[in-house]
Amino acid sequence: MKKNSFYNEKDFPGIKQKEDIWSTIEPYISSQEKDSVRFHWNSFWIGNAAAVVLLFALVGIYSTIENFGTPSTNEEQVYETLSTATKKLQDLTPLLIQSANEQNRNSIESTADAIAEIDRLIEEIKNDITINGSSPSKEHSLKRLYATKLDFYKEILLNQEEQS
Amino acid sequence: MVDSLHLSNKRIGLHSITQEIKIIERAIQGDQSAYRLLYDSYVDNLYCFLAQFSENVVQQEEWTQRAFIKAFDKLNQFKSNSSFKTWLFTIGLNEMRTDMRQKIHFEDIHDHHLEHEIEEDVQDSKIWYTAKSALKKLSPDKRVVCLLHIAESYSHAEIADIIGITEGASRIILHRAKKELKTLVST
Repeated sequence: MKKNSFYNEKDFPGIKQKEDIWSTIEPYISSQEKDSVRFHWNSFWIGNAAAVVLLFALVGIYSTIENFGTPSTNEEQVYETLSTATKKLQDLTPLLIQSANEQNRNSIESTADAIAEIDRLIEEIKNDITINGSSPSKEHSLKRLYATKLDFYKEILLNQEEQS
Repeated sequence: MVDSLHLSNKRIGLHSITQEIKIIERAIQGDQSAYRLLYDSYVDNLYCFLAQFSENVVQQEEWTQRAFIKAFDKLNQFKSNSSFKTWLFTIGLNEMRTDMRQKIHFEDIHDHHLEHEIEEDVQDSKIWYTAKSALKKLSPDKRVVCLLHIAESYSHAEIADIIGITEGASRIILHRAKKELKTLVST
């Protein structure tokens, strides 16, 4: 490929450097080839969150029996506040999608799908807490899910900021 | 397989948009070698462009990696109304801006400024090539527009799409950059 003459020679990556960069990219591509599943950042985070949830759910069965029937009032207040805050952002999402340009719209819609999946996981843990009781691990995974959800909203808002 | 395609890519290049779309379709279906073709075709361009915003090689490599990984991740969202290179540059620029959020800002410029500021066609000017070394002294927003227009030959309409500003704003930023470069070169 003809080199762009505008740039200096030192600006171009060397052959080894290009191979090094590719060696970081390749695992993502390879995992898709093996599993016929496309790597997706949102799925990656959701997968992580789901793994944490499953792990803690297993641990929780044994560790939270003693806590059964003793609601954590402070924690409930925290989740109530987080739910209210994210609900406001959730209400805003259709407006953001509507006002986004086409390129950002796809990205926002995809992120909104991921948020819906996180909501489902949050509901699962909350139901589990209601049935089996709470535990530090479940509380931790709930907080992580809320944090991931807020991160996704941050991504949507920053996308919007870059567009404007 | 990758090597043979790599070689054939070097021979034929990715001149045809149709050919590029076919390669992208293969990559979406999970053909690693197809994505390698795209990588080989555009890694130099993207890396050089991003290198103008950092002296740190590790940082430049990271931006390039992240751009290609995100592009692959969102490949099925790629729309053929722009070239893969334009789309990749949009992603790469966003990655860079994410890390440089405090340092790179495109001010709001309205089209009515156009008639007061644009006096000549800046694209034909030779100043860009003589002032290459002074380019890094420009603010990042001006540097982005200069590089996309002069080094990468994007139109103002394309730059507007890539950065998310108006076409008029792109013209004005380029015009201001040229004036600044003239001063930098003459001092």
